[in-house]
Amino acid sequence: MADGGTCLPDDVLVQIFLLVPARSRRPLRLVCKGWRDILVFINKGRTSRAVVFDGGSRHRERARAYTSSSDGGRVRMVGTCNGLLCLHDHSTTYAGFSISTITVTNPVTGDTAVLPPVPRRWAWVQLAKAPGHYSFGFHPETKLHKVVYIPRGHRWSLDALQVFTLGSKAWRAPISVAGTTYWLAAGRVMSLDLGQDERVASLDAPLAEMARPAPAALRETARDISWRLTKVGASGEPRRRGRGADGSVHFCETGGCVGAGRGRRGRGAAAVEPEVQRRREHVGLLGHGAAADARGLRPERGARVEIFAFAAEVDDAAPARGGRADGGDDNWQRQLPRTKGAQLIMSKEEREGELTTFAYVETQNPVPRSK
Amino acid sequence: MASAGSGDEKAAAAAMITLISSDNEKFEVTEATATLSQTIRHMIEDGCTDGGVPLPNVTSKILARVIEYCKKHATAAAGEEGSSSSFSDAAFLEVDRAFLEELEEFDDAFLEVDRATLFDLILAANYLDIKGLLNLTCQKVADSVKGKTPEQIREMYNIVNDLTPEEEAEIRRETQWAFE
Repeated sequence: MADGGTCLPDDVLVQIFLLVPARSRRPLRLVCKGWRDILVFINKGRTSRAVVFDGGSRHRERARAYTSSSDGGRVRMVGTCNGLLCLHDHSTTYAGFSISTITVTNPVTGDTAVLPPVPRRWAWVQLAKAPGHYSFGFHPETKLHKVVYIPRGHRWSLDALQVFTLGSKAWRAPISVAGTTYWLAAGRVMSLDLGQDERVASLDAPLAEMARPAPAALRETARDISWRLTKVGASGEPRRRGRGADGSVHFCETGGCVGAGRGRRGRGAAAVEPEVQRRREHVGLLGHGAAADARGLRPERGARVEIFAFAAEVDDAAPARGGRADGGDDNWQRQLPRTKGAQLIMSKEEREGELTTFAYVETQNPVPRSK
Repeated sequence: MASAGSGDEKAAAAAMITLISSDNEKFEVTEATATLSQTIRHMIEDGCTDGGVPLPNVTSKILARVIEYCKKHATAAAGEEGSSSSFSDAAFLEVDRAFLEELEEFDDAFLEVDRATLFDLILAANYLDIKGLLNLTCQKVADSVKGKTPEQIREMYNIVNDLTPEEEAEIRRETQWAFE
C-alpha cells in the first residue's frame, strides 16, 4: 500500500483485512501480490466451526456446520427458542478488539437472518473490551422473538441495554426502565420483561458472597466478573404483573465468587433465589433456558422434541471453508456461510466434555425478518 | 490507576512524561495520557523515561495528533480501570453518556484527515501500541476498501498490480463463488 511514499507494514495490513467483512475480503486478493500473500496467510489461520447435531436419535442428516465468517473467529450459541437458534459469531482482531455478529437461523430449513450490529455508541465499549452478553428470548403474548445485548462489565447504567426484536430493523434501548436508573451492579439481579413495555426490574441478589472482599486467589476472576443473561421461568419473575411465563430475561452474576445462595432477602428475592439457584445447577445440563423453552412451548403437531447439541470447534489444521454467503447487503454483514449437507464434527469442546445440549423443537417456520 | 478518582485530581498528582518527536519537539503529557501507549507504559514500568522518551518514528505533527487522541481517551480509560478492581464496593462509577457521545464525535472528527496523515497515524499507533487508535484508524481503511473492486482499490491507494495474468486467473478460480 503506497501513498506518497507511505507503506503500511504487513502486520497492520493483517489487522485492516480482518476488519473487512469476509465477503468483501476475498476480492482484495486481486489487488496485488503483497495483498494476496497476506490474505492467503490470514486464511490459513484458525478457523472454527460450530455444529448442531441431533444427539437423540443418532440421525445426523440435519446437522449443520456454522462457520465463523472471520478467521480465528468462533461461533457460539446464544440461545434457542421455538426451533430457532441464535448464534454469536465472535472474533478478535489483531489488536485484540472484539467483533460480534448475531445470526438467527432455523437449523432445519437453513433459513437465516443476520442482525445488524449493536449501535456504534456502545460498539466502542464492545470493541475495546469483550463481546458483551447476548440473550435470545421469546415473548409468548406478543409472539415476538427478541435478542438482548448487554455490554460487558457492571459499571454501565441500564440504558446501555439494547434490544433487537426480530422483524424490526434496528436495535434500541428498552422502552421502560421503570422510572429509575438501575445500575448493572454486583449484588443485584435484574430482570427485563420482554413484553410490550420491556420493563426492567431490579432486586437484591441473594448472592451474599458478593458483598465480601474477594479472596486473593479470586481477585483476578473478580475483575473479570461480568453479567450473564439467563432466562428463568415464571416463578422467578419478580413482582409479576400477570404476564406470560417465559418472557423475561434475568441477569445473574457469574464468576468465581458466586455460589452461596443464602443471604440478603430483598424485595422479591425470596421468590427468585431458588430459581436462580436451580438455574445455576441446570446450566451444565440444559443450557440457555432450554427448560423454560420446552415448558412454554406448544409443539407443532407431530413435531418431535429432541435434544440437540451445539458444539464449537477450533481446528487449526483445517483450511477455511468456502461457504457461500447468502443475501443481505454488504454494509454490516459478516454473515455465517450457509453450509449444505450433513456433517458431524467432533469438536475440541466435545472431546473435553464442554458440550452444550438443549431441548429442541423442530419447526418449519421462517426466521422473522424486517419487511 | 488502581483507585478511582476524578480526572483532575489524578492529573495533578500524576507525574509528567516528556515525549520527543523525530524532529526534536518536546511534548509534556501526564502519565495517564502517555500510558494509553503500551510501548510507553512499559518504558515507565522499566523506569527509563527520565530525560524524556525519544520517538524517532513519529513526527511532531503526528505526535501532536496522537497526544490529542490520548488526552481525550485517557479520561474514559481511567474510569474503566478505576472501578474494575473494586467490584465489591457499592460505589460504581457513573458513566457520563454525554461524554461517550462526545468521544464518538471526537473520533469521527479525528479521522477527517488526508490519506497520508491517516497512514502516519496508523504507523504511529502501531509503533506506540495504542490499541484504540490503531483500531479506529484501521477501521477507516477497512471501510474504504469494503465493497470496492480491485481496480478501484489500486487507484485509491496508488498500488501497482504486479500479479501476472496467470496468477490473477488462479485467484479467480480459487474464489470463483465470491465473484458471482
